[in-house]
Amino acid sequence: MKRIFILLFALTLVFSLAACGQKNDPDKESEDPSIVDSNDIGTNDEQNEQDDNGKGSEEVETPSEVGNEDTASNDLADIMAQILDGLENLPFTENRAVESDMFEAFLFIPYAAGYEAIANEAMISAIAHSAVLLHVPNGTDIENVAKSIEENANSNKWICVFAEKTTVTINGEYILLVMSSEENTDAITENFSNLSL
Amino acid sequence: MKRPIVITIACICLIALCFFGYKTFLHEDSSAYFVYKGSIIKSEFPLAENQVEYAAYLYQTIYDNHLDGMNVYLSIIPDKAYFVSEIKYDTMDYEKLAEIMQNGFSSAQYVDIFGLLSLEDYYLTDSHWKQENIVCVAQAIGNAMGVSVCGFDDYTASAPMEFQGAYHEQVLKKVDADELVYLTSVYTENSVLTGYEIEGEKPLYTLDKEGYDIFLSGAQSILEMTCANAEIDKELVIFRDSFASSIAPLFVGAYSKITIVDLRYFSSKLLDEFIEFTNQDVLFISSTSLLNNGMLMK
Repeated sequence: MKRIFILLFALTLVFSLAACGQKNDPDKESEDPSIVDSNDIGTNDEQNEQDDNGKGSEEVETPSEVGNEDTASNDLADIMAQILDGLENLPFTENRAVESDMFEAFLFIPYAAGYEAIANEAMISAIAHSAVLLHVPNGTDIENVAKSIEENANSNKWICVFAEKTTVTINGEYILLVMSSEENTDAITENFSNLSL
Repeated sequence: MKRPIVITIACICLIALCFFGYKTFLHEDSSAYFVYKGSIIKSEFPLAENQVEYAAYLYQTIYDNHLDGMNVYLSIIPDKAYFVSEIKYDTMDYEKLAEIMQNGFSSAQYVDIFGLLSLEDYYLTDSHWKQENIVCVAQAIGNAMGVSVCGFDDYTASAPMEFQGAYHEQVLKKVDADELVYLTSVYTENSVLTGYEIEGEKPLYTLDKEGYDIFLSGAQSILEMTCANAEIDKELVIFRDSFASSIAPLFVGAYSKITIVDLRYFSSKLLDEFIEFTNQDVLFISSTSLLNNGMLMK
């Protein structure tokens, strides 16, 4: 009995100390004891992973053209129009072609060859609204791509305003990421799911 | 089981878990919030060069399409992590950011304000700077633009209001609440605020809002401040993020009309429909946080 008690006590001590270990950075304490790291509450893991992915995408092209929606696939634009059709409370929006160097900013995953995407965003409104339609080449593990987007999607990306709801939905060879008000996210997702693609 | 064996196992577990916790929750979490000198700081890391390049490209494109020949200025507001960059490893390369912006947006005159600021000029529990501490910054930018901006003695500071900013709940360590102060002058008192998302006219400080949102009604796509008793009839256009909500009111008086555009919420394609560009002064002023996420702007 005594041995079990000692073992339990030791394990309790271990977990307590390990938990405390999350708060303080020993390296930094030695440099400046007044720096205290927080625990992981509120950390922006999505942005973190986005940044990490960014290191791997060294093939940065020149900054994408501003106002280049004409370069976006007409197919994607047509599908986006169908997805947004009938939405009553949608803000005034525009489509933006998501070039290879912009993928992580819009879809939170690195670009891969053959990917094509278009983003629908508010044109003049201080609200969070983003619907991004991605077409992946035939043979892509689309479930895995969608899972990666879902894990990394940052509904706080606007910094000062936040999306109420985020969904990632697959339909055929297309993935739709929606970050918007709950009402718009639900309606857009439903429209997309009902399309025959 | 013998006691020495139990103690040995416990010690091994202790060492392993401490190491695991250290590696997992500290070194590999590069965007954590932390507390330094009582201020909650979010590490902005690493520098996303392609995002900053996009911001510079967008600004330069706006210049080429709308502002050619006008007096255009660029200023960059350091986020709080800049002030611990000497002692904390996971902060972005701020010099590189400023270099990319200046090179990519070479048509603008750069007004460096990094040296005018310190961590004490920002709220403890929020990312933003304190209006009462940035009068000197407004004056420096005003000097660069060739206008005279009021000094601190020309303002009346409001009674402090308790303020717990956006970072307040991001750490478990108890951090003191801030005091929110706003500055009024004969010019701010005689100015009105209008905007695409604002009904009618409002004062510059909207006290029915909470926290930092009292400055220019919080997040807005496009705003206009009009000062009835400005010293001269001159206009300013500011391309900005939320930091400018508190510095823009300090420019009224020096300008009779100030148009304020947040490119996160206002597409640059609409500029000609809302602003007639003539001979206004133009100031691009954004935080390093926004520039490091430059693709948010459109």
